[in-house]
Order: sequence, then C-alpha cells, then structure tokens
Amino acid sequence: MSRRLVLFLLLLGCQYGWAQSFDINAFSDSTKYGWQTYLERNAYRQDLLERQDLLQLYEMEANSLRDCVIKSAIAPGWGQFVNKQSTKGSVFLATELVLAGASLYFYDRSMYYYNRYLDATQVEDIESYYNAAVGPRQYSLIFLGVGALVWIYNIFDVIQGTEEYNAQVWKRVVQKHREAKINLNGNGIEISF
Amino acid sequence: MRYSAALLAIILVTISACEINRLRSAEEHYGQKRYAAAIQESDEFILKANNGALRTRAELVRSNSYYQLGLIAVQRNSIDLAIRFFKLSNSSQADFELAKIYKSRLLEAATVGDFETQLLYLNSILREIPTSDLVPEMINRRIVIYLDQIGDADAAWHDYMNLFDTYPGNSYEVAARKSMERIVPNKIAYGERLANAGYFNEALAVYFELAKYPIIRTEEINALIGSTYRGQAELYLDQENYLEADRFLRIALQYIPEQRPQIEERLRQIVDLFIKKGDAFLAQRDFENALTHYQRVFEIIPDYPPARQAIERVRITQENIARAAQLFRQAELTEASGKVADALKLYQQANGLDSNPETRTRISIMQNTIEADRNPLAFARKIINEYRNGLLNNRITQQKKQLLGRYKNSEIRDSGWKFLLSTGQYKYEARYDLMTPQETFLYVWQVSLKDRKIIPLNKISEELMK
Repeated sequence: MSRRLVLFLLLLGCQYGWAQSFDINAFSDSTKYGWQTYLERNAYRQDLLERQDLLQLYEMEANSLRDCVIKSAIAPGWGQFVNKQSTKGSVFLATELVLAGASLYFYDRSMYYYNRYLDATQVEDIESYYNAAVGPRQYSLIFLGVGALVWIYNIFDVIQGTEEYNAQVWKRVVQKHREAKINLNGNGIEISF
Repeated sequence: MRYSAALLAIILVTISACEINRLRSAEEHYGQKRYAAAIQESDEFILKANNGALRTRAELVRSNSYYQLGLIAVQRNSIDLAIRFFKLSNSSQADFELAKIYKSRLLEAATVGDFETQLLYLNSILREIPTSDLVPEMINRRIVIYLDQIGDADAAWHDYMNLFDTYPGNSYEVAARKSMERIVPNKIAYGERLANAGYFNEALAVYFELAKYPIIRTEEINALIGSTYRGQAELYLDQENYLEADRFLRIALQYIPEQRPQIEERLRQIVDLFIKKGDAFLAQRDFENALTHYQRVFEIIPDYPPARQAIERVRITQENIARAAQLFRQAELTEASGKVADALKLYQQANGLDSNPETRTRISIMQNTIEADRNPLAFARKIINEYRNGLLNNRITQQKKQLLGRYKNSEIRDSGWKFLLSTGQYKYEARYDLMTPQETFLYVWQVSLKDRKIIPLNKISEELMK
C-alpha cells in the first residue's frame, strides 16, 4: 500500500513539475519544427502526405507484433520465421525442443524412481530410490528453467525482430516509391513529379 | 508465485518498451482528448523512433492534436493562438480553419476601409493556403483593391489572368470580368500605340493576351488583331517584301473576313507590283529576275492571268531576241557581200523583232549607203541642207546679210555650195566661199554619206556649226 502511495506521489510530482515548466509560447511556436516560411511548411506537408499514402502499403507488408509474439509464444522461433529470420527461428525451436525433451526425459526418470520409492518396503530401497529420484528431478527442473529463459528471450527477440523487420519494410516501401519517381534510361536520369 | 510475478513483469516491461506501444500511448492521449500530452509524446517518439512508418503515424497524431487545440483556441476566442496551432497542424483541415480566421479578419478590416490590412490577409490566404476554396474570392477582392485603392492595373490584370486560368467560370471570376472591363480600353490604346510605333509583335502580344480572356467582344479584338496584321503587311509593302506582306494580309483575313474585298484588292495590288517589277527587269533584259517576279505572283494568286501573259511575253521576247540576233548575223554577212538592199531588209527584220541601237544604226547606215549609191552629190547636199534643220544654210545666209551691211552686193562674191569627192569611200567635201575686198570666209566640211556626219575642216566652219 505504502509503495503504491509513493509511486502515486512521484507521478503527481512529475506532472506538477512538467506543468510548472510548460511554456505556451514555446509550445505554440509555429517555427519550432524548422518551418521558417510557408514554403518550408508546405514542403513538409507534401512529404508527410506522401508518406501517409505509403502507410497503406506498409500496413499490407508489415508484420503484426501481436501475431508474431503469439506465434513465438506458442512455438518458439515461429515469429522469427515470420520475420524472415529462419536461422534464428531454427535455433530457438531446436533449443526449446532439446531443453523440453531433456527436461521431460529427466522428469520421466525421476518419476520412475519416485514410483519405485513409493512402492518400496525396505529401508535400503526407500533411501536408494529416493536418492535416485532426486537427481533427475533437479536436472529436469534445470532444463525446464533454462527452457523458460530461452522462451522468454525468444519473446523478447521476436519483439525486437518484428520492429526491425517492420522498419526495414518501411524503408523498402519508401525506396520503391522513390525509385518509381527516378528512372534511369539511355538519355540520363528522368525524375517524375 | 514470486517467479510468475517476475516473469510477468519482464514481459510487461519488454512489451511496453516497444515502439508501437509508445505510439499507441500517444494515440491514446489523443483519443482521450489530452492533446498537449499527445503532442509531447509524439514529439519525443518522432525524435527517437526507428520505424519511419510509426514516425509518420506519430506526425499525423501530432498534426491532428494541434488541429484540435486550434479548434479549442477558436472556441475560447484565442485567435492568435489558434493561428499558431493551425500552422503547427500543417494540414488541409487546419488550413481551412486558418483561411476562415484570415477571412474574418479581412472582413473586419474591410468594414473600416483598411485596405492594407485586407491585403495582408488576402496575401496570407493566397500565399499560405493556395488550395483554399477562398482563393477565387480573395483574388477578386485583391483585383478590386488594386484597381480602386492602389491604381495598379498591371497587378490587377495579372491577378485576373491567374483567376481565369485557374478558375474559369467561377462566380468570382465572372464578377472580376466587370472590374477588368475598365482596363480594357487602356490596354487597347497601349496596343495601338505600339502598332503605330511599328512594334507590331508587341501590340499583337497585348491583343492576343486580351483575346484569351472573356473581357472583350471577339469581333472587337479580332478587328484589332486583323488591323495590326494589315499594318504589318503595309510595312512590308513599303519595304518591298511582298511575300511577307501577302502572308500578313492573309493572316489578317482570318481575323477580319468582312474586309475580304479590300484585302483581296490589296493582294491584287501586290501582285501588280510584282508584275511591274518583273516588267522593269524585262526592260533591262534580266529575264531570270523578271520570270522570278512573275512566278511569285502565283504564290499569291494562282494562275493570275496578267502574270501568265507576262511570262508569255518573256518567252516571246527571248525568242525574238534570238531570232533577231540570227537575222543580224545574216545581215552582216549580206552587207559584207555588198548586197546592201538585202542587208537593209534583214536589219529591218531584226529591228522589228528586237530593236536596239546597234541595229538601228546599221539600218541607218544601210539606208544612207543606198541613197549615196543612187546620187552621192544630191545626197551630200541633202545632208548639208537637213543638218540641224538647215542650220548651215541659215548661218551662211546671216553671214552674207552682215557682209551686205558693210559691202555692196557687187563687192561680195558668193561661191554657193560646191561638193568635191574627198578621201575615203562615201566621203565628200562641201565648200562655201564668201569673199569681199577686205574679208574672206572659206567654209569647208567633210560630209560622210554613210553615217550623215559633217566634220568641219577649218576654224570658221567649226565656229559656224556652234
């Protein structure tokens, strides 16, 4: 409760501080984005409108972050495959399979000895089966833990990868658009406006 | 439980650090009408974002936020602030609002007759918001200010041209026509001054510019253009550049078809000038130039009969000259063989075909020779008697009269005309002596029968001939 109060006060303080330093003149300065003249403002607008038109193309080609995260959460590496990072996707998938397999294997071994331990009637058997069950169980947990870490890293990576992929998609879309306007032919460079 | 919470925290932090989520945060601010916060976050995002598409979306959020702030400022009557927000919004919807603000300020200025402020806002709309629907209205208003307040007809005209070229048929363009009709007479007068000064192309440029716009009747401007072309044609006529003159007259005809009879008459005059010039060349025996001029006529009036006749004349003249030359040569040969009468006939035929001084001289010589052969003395006497309408006889008679004043008739001895054969063929000496006791006048000439020449052979004879 006290932590929540401290956090609230901190946020309130920040907001208050920001409000104190708010300068309406600077905020509404019509030249603050570097548009000194109406021509520069118009040039910026044309550029923005042009880019706005390209957003549709971008949306068609870009990968959804949510979809990639879900895919990688279901099957590690799947999101990376979608982002055309097949090597990375393969490594994640293989690592997860190996780690899950190893964890299951040791879990199975542990359960085998554990069941024997439960069925044992002799003191020596009880001790020996118990000791035999403890080791694989620990290994199983270690592999499971490492698997979870890899899974988390896989999620983190797919987020980064998707953002990087989408940034590249945008660059490609813009590049294509510009190339469509600049055409190299036998007579030289032709620029269409 | 602790591990699960940590895991969840890691995932949440990771996801919240995503660019898309930071953009969504700005969009959420906008959605919840926290426009200043949306602008602040968008500004930060735009500076840091790696993905250009997301940056573009943030710029759009920022633009819309400024627009909304501008609308709020208008509602609160903070017009200057609204102007700045709309400028920062930098979008067509913001421009629309900005234009409305400018217009309302302009109208305020108009009510107090402050045309400078009106111009300021007019120019702001025209310069900063060229796509605004208010542009035609603003141009029309500016035309009126230029004409009524500033007196700058040229600026008004340029505005009108721009208005018509961009918004033909717009109600403000139609309204502006009325204003522009006021400057048309001046423009016409200017064109006429240019044409009168010989600057036809410049005058035509003025007229053609006027003709492009519906502020002058087509017939009126066509008449001006046609007259200018006619003027240019007349100038070429003065410079004897008939082809150019013809070209310009024909162009003029396109504009003033009602003047067809006059122009066609002028064209005929041009071709007649060509024929005259050709005739002049023909007289100088420059057949090539003569033909060139006659043939040029056909470029103006195809198959023009006088030109065809002139060309036929050239052909006949050339044939006659060739035939005359042939006859002349024949006559020379005949003359050399001593058949003077035949030679005379041939020379006369040659002269009939192509009269020239040489042939005429030859004819004269032949006629003289014939007469000299028939009776040389009588012919010599005839030459003396006919010389300058009997000048020699008259002067001798006068001389004798003077002597009679000083001497008695019996003292004066008058030899009368005496003709003696001289050295050379067809040459005679003609003598006339007047003698008194104290004075003697011995006149003597050589008479050439062939060419009827009389040459004095002493000083007093020469004096008598003067």
